[in-house]
Amino acid sequence: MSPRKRPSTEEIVQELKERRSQEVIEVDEKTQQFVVVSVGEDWFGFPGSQIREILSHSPVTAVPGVPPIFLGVINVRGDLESVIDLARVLGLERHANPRQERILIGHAAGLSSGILVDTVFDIIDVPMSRISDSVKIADRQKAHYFTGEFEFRSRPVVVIDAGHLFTDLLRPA
Amino acid sequence: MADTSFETLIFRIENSYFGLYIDQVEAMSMVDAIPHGVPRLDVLLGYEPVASLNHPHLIRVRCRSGRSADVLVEASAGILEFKSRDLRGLPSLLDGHLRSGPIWAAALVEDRIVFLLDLERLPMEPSCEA
Repeated sequence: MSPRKRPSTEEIVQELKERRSQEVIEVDEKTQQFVVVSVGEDWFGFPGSQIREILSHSPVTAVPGVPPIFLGVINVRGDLESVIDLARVLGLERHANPRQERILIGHAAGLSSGILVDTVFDIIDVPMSRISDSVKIADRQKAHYFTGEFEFRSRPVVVIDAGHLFTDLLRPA
Repeated sequence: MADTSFETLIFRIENSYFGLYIDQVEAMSMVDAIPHGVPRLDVLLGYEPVASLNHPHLIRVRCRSGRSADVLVEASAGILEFKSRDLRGLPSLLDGHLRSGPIWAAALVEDRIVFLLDLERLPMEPSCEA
């Protein structure tokens, strides 16, 4: 058996050019923006079109007489926004680190609210071909919040529709 | 449009502030002994009664029916005057949950959120209802 021929410098350069041209084709693909967050061990993606801003954890004023998933209200430049605890909504355990906690201000289905998450990792553009429609979720009651899944940093990220979330929370139980 | 002023008696419960229109307050006095059967405002609002009131005050509320009803509060945090432009709508997600409760609006005064109360929506004793 003859030993494998080592590629020449020209061949390596050619291969790199080919790879780069393939990447350009992928970048040209239609993408969707997501805000990638974590709650406990799980990672979630909110469509960028539904998130108006990301705030550091500001003091939340508690409101009596509302379900415990509502942490209270915050003052966002003179307007009051409710704040929901995403961990409680999804029945997950938070990894509370106040320095990393963020409040996303979400707008969807004509409603708005702050959403407390453990961490915001990034805002990324995901090629549509990499977003799967199917989500492996055991809790069927929560499944209708989830509209897809993609991979980011080798981890599954579940897409959450803030519109479904807000509409559900609108109704007193 | 005229910017009307309102005077409210402010109470602090945990980290939240609550306001009661002065016009609704018939009398307020400190009490040495807790009168039997008079409910605490914090309990009526749904808070856990974690401790006894340090400086219990009895508020006699003037009801729209002409009757009076009593409620116990911790000492007032003072009187706050605010303008109608300080009034804020309740957040959309909370509106349905609060509709039948005592909080009817909120005001933002000097970066402080104050929930405005209509005590007639609480089960005070005796009741405001005739």
